[in-house]
Amino acid sequence: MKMRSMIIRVSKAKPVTTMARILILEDERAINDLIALNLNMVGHTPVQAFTGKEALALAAHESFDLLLLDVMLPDTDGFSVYEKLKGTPAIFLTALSETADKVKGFERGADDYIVKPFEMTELLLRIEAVLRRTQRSEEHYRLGSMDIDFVAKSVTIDGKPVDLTMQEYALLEVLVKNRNIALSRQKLMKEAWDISFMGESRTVDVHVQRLRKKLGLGDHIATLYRFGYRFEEQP
Amino acid sequence: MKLRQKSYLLTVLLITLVLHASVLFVLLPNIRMTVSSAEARALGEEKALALAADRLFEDVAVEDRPIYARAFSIYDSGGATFAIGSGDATWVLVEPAPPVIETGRIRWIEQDGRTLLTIADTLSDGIWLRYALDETATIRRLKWQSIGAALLCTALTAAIAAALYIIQERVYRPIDRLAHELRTPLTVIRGYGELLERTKLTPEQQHTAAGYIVAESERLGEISQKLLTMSDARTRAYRPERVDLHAIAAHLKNTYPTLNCEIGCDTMTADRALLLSMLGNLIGNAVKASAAGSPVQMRIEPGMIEITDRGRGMNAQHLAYVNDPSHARNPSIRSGLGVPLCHEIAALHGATLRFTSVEGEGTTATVLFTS
Repeated sequence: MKMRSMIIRVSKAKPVTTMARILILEDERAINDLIALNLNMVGHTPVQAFTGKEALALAAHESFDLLLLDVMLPDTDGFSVYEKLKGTPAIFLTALSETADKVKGFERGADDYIVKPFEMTELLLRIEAVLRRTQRSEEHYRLGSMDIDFVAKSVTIDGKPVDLTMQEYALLEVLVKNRNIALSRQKLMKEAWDISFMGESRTVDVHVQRLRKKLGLGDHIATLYRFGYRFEEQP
Repeated sequence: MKLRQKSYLLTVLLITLVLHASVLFVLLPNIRMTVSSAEARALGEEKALALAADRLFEDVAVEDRPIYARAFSIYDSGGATFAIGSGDATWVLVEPAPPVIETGRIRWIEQDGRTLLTIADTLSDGIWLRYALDETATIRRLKWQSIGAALLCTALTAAIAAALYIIQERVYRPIDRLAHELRTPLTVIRGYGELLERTKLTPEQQHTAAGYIVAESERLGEISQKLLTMSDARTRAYRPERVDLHAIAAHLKNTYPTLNCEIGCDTMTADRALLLSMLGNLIGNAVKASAAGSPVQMRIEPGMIEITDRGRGMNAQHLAYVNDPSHARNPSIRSGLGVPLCHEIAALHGATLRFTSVEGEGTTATVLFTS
């Protein structure tokens, strides 16, 4: 219960307007809390359920933008919960590669799966991809006088457009979508520019410098020594 | 294809090859010997016949020879057929006529469904001798021998393949279970580690994250301990001794404060360390299934130990799994290492482990010592 109160406090501090409501169904408290914490970090609203019954009860009262479903549950399995909540996109969390095959067999556009143990940033990226596909992704992000329009791929400060190159915008988007979580230079290069080879990560540094200058984000993009960068809402 | 399947198929293929090759190795010289002994016998008999004919014709005028040759129609040829003549004329023939082949040769010939060993020879003064021995039975025997060996090989290969499959399943299933068991602690440790590394957490959050990492590391330690006991139970010599059951109960009560003990006999013969491990596992599971503080009952009577809880119980599917973990293979059941271990320890003591359960009311685990 300690974790829950902690999560609520974090989410109150969010200055963001559009977020996704995400139902987490996972019986292992440690993992459930971990996912909730991470979702909070990037501005989503997590709702935690630990049994299939709990999840269905929650879904009866409110609607969710996305379901994160553990496949193996003590009282049921993720698939039957998914079947009962048809229409809501879902990502399955599974410990077995065999179940992964089963999920693939579902062949529904909005679905995905991730095999434990997974990297949290990987899960966040999958979530973002599914939300974008189902058009439940956030359209705007505002911080102070800065407004990022994720649909038009443009940035304004005090209503005035800021001239950003494609690379600069892509980098900014990845940083903001994974806000409060540090990303390594390699991860940034891969996700923003689709460059997966190692080395030449100095390019990232150069672009981050330009973003800081053009958007006045000096304190908001923190440098983590020998790791990478983190977009912080409250530096 | 999984590597496991690949290596299995390769092994079976290799066994098939080796088996067939070795049978061929034994069978081939046998075939060769049978054939050459048949040839030697035929050649010997043919030579005797030729010698007899030569002797007879030596003292006979050339024009009388065809008449004298008729004497050979009553020659005891040991089942062989032959013909003697000169040029185009056949002087004597023991039916059926031997096939015509080149002179001076020995041949195996298939004719009218029979296998003939045929020899063509020349005597003095242009007299020829055609000789044929029916070896159909010999060849048929060889054929059946080969087919029998091939069938035997195939049956043997199938038996080995099946045995290998069963062994492989036995070896891999605990590994599958283990891999699965490790996933949750690994996810937690990695996730909270990443969180500490990459995000700004409040001191309170940091404390919680570190707490989870420590707790899950302990869980990994427990899994490793169970694995060691399991491998111990499999490889170590079973060391039975007189075990003081009151001491065992006191030890368990130390670890599980909600345990109630009802001991109806003082000692029993068992491997102390393994018995403790089994009871610890069963009681641990009972405590986990029960509400906090709810008591767990252990009743010991001669030849029987029973552990009862009033916890959440199990559904039929889960019950079937815990009663026979080696057969049920439903991936939706969260299968730990503890229950299979308990079954192994019970079997080692010549005992059986049986669970009965009612969902929502509780579970009873009974260890019955039959010997």
